[in-house]
Order: sequence, then C-alpha cells, then structure tokens
Amino acid sequence: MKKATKVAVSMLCVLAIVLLAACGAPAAPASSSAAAPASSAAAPASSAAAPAEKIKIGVSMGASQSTFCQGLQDGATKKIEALGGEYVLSLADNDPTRQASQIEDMVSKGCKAVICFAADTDAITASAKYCKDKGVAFIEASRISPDMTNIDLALGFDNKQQATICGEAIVAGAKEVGYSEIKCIEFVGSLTDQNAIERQKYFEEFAAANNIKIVATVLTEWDAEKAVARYKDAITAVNDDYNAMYCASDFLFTPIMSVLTEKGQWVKKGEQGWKIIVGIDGAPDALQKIRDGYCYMDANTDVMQLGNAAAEKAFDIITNGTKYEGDKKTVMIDAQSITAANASDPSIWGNNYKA
Amino acid sequence: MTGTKLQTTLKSKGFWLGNIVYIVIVLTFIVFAIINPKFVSGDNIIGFFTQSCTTILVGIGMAMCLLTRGVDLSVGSIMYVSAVSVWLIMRAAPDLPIGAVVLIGMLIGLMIGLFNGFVVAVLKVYALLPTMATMYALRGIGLSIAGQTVCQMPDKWLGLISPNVAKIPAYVFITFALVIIAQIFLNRTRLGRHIFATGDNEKMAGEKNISVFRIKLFVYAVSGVMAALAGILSSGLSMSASFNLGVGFEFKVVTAAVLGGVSLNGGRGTILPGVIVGALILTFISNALVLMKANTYSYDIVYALVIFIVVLLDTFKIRSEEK
Repeated sequence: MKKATKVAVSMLCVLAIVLLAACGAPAAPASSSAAAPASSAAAPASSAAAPAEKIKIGVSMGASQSTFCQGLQDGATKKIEALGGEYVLSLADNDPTRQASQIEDMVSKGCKAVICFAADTDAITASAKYCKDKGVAFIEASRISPDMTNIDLALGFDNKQQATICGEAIVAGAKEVGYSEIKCIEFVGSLTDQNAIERQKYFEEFAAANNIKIVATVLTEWDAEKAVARYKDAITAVNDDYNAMYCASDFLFTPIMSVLTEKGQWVKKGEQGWKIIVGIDGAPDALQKIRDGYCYMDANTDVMQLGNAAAEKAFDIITNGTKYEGDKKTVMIDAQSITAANASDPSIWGNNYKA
Repeated sequence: MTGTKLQTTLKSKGFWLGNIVYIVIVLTFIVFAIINPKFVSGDNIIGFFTQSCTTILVGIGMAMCLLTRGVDLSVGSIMYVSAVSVWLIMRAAPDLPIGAVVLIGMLIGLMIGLFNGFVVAVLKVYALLPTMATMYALRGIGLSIAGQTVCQMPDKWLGLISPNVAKIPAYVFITFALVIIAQIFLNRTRLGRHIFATGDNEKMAGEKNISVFRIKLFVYAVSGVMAALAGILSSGLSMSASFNLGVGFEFKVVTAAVLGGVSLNGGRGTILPGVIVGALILTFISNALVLMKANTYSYDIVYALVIFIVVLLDTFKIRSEEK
C-alpha cells in the first residue's frame, strides 16, 4: 500500500510539473513575444469567440531560434487574423518528428491549410503528402524542399541572390578599406536546412569567380555555442589570418562579437584589424551592429512580408481553389542590401523588433 | 618514483591495460600534432580548455549524480533557465554588479537542484523520470520568462568572460579550481565517501546509518548549481540565451562522464581526471575536425566512431581487471 501510494504521489508530481509548464505558455503571440513551450504539442488557436465558419489555418514553425523565425510567425498569424481567419500555431523545436505529429493534429483540428517553416526540408515532404491526402493545402515558407510533388506552393527568398549580395558586399568592402586580398571565413548553417545548403553553395560559387579565398568553413548547426567553439578553432586553423566573414544567418553576428571581443579584435570600420562581416536576414541586433559600424552589410529578407504572402496565398487556395503548377509553384521574394546608409529605415522588418 | 619502480610499472601489463584509454588518446593527439602542427599551438591548447569549460562544469554535478546511480537529465534546461533569468535580471536591474547577477543565477540552479533531489530522494523514484519531466517543464518556463526566442545579453556581460591571466580566460582557472575542490571533497570528506557508498549499494549504505536522503539532495543540488553556472558562462560566451541553449547537453555531459570512466552503475569514477578527460575528448574531436577542414557531413560519423572506440577500450580494460 505504502509503495502504491509513493508511486501515485510521484506520478502526480510529474503531472503537476508538466501542467505547470503548459500553463506557463502564453495563449497566443502578441507583437514580438514568442511561443508555446517545448513540451506542448500545439499552442491554442487565436482570437476569442471565433464563429464556426472562420477559415482555420495551421502555422507550423519547425524552429524558432531567431527573431527571423519570430518575424515569419508574426507575419503569417497577423495576416490570417486580418483576413478574418483563425490560426493554430505550433513550435517543433527543430524536431522533424514532432513537427509531423503537430501537422497531423492541425489537420484533425480542421485546418484547411498549413503554412510550414520546416525543421527538415526532406522529412517534411511526408507531412505534405499527408495533407494532400486529406485535402489540406500545404504551403512552405522560407525553407523550400527539393521535392515539391505534394506541396501546393512554396514561398521563399532567393538564396542565390542573397549569397551574391553578400559576396558583392565583401568585394566592395575590401575595396573601400583597401584590402588587396580577401580571406574569408564562411559560417554555414545546418546540414538539414535547404536554405543553409544553398547559401553555402552559391556563396562558394561567387567566391570562386570573384577572388574571395575561403580559408575556413565553420559548421554552426544554427547553434550559437557551437558557432563560438568552432569559430575559435577556425581562427587557429588559419593563424588568425583572415579579413572577412560570411554568415549564412546574421544571428551569428553576436557570437562573432563575443569571440572577437575576447581577442580584443571587435573594432569598427576604419580601425586597425577591422573584418568585413556580412550576413543574411535583417534581424534587429544585426542592424544595430551595422549602425554602430562593426558589421558591414546584411541581406534583408523581409520575413513579415513572406508570412503575409503565405497567409494570403493560403486564403486564395482555400476560397478560390487556385492551383499553382510548374514554375508558379515557387514564389521568390527579393532580398535587399542593408548597410549603414539605410539600416535605420523603418520599413525594414527588423526595425519593428527590439534589438 | 625511482628508476627501478618506473621500469617495473612500465613492464606491467596492468599499467597498460589500466590506462589504455589515456594512452590511445595521447597517441591520437601525437598523430594529429604530426599531421597538423597547429594542433599543439598555444592558442589551440588554450582553446581545448576554454571550449570544455561548460561541459566540465555540468560534468562535476552529473558525475556526482551518476556516482549515486542517478542521473540528471534537466541540466540542459537548467542552463537555459539560468541564462534567461540573468538576462531578465539585467534588464530589470541594469546597475546590479555582475557578481550579484551570477550568484542569483546560481541560486536559481540550487533551488531547481533541490527540487530534483527532493523528488528523487523522498519519493525514491529512479532519477531519469522526474529529471526528464523537469527538463521539459523548465524549457517551457524559460520560454515563458523570455517572452521572445533570442535574449541578447547587454554589453556589460562581456565582463564575465573577458578577464584573463596570461592570455588564459579567468573562467578556465575557476572551472579547474572547482574540479579540484570537487575531487578533494569526494576523496577526503565523509560526505564524499558516503556518495560512493550510496552508489555502490544504497541499501547497505542505509543500514550503515548513511543518510541516503541527504546524499541525494546534496548531489542534485550540486548538479543544479553547476548547470546554472555553465548556463551563465555559455550566455557570456555567445552573448545570448537562445531558445536552443543547452538542448541535448545532458547527453553530451553523460557521454563525457562515461568516457572519463564514471560508471553508470554508480560507485565508481572521478571528476579529476575522469570528467576532464571525457570533456576534452569531445572538444578534441571537434577541434581536430575543424583544423583538418574535414567535410562537415563527416562530423557526426567521426564523433560516433571515437566514442565507440573509447567505450570498447574501456570495456576491454574492465573485463581484464575482472579476470
């Protein structure tokens, strides 16, 4: 009896902890605040007192490790509400299996479409097929799968254009400060992220054609701590002989700042030892570093615009039955170059969030 | 050690078998150094230690839990919660000294550790389940506190990592001081011996009037504090407390401890040199892969291979000792 009581009490304690975590999660994101806790399968839907006929759309975020992801999420959810719909939001913590399960939950909750930021662009194709079999539209946002068979529409940023903008900025920056030779450390993202793979591929092509020597490649796995450790190793590998850095995402600007500060090398443009740092995304803290003169350029990817567009297309597919075929299945949104000259522009999505 | 004694030791099969893991590591180190001399450069050697600090810190607490035949799977989440908490404290009270902020963060880790210890010790539940539950709960609590996905630390937080002595960051010295203190504590104090006794045979330890409750409360409290300290250090190194800070870290730390000879069955193992060696092995692999400019797709394969080899050698050593 005593043993049974202990088991029962222990199970109750575990349940209490889990409930506490679930209750701690906000019901729905407001402006820049995030998300459901990692333990929950899906966050509750938005808007109170939704009438039964409101169109329900799932927003499946495979990852949320940056303000970029937050911007995409906000862009999609706010547009859905603005169009009179209702959204079901879930976060998958970079876990493809969890994301697949959450998408199935969305379908069972009556979602007519799913807007998906994939944790794994290969694994997500199974969820796309599941949605197709259930008559639910599947729209990919930002991370686009190579296999588009069961995907109704994909909206993303042109990785080639972004990588090219970054490469051009490095060349321009070197010319501006008088570096005759460009030695660049390349920071790549995750090997399961198609965007990261393409950004690496296109940058390396540009570098090869434009005399940018890539002296080291740092695999970050989109993890700041790994980025710090491997960056330090890379610096040793190249004997600290480099003058440029290409970041597949500008969230890496902060870990880079940490390492360079420790080495006494975090300096502004024009100072001795300044390194040309370029990145992609347009996040608020990166914009601040550009304004301050430490980083050189950021390729802006307007994620809020992307999220808005994904929501609009979802409504279009549901209400008008629009079908996208062939080349029209993939919609690319242009990136723009952000330098110190325009980093304070309020139309840049990153300036809508706090640094 | 006299010359004769040294000769006898080196000729002894037991010496080679007993230290086979360390010997293989040293040989591999020498091979890498020959292939790429930068491997043994001053900066790189310092890098081994700076990059291992977070693993070593958490490893101190995890080793103590493992010694009692327990485990603490919530360490990664404690790292995250403590990092987010200090971020919040600095936003609310920007004039608070760094030392005070660190102490508050450690206190938070202590409270979480005591909670874990209480559940494990009082309810006598195997530690895996309650600490796993705490792991999930804390991640959710951390996200709620953060209110956003990436918490950028203020510039003054660089003060945590920037002090150095002879080009070696001060936090490396602090980490190793804690390791030495922990090992002396385990070897030389009554509580330390009781930790081993509890892991060796809990029932018999109880019969010998050892307070198993106090031991378990203590080791999980230490684990909580060390994880909090590691989270705070990590937030200083990356100048942020990102959503995935500490995710999967518990497995890395258990791996480091086991590689260093801490037994999953309790009662056996050391922090010095055990946990340090295990942490350095993991850093060593990562470092070597970057220095050799290895294909990034090969990283996980190499990690798995090295871990497999080290565990195989250790198993071979244990079986030889048993014979």
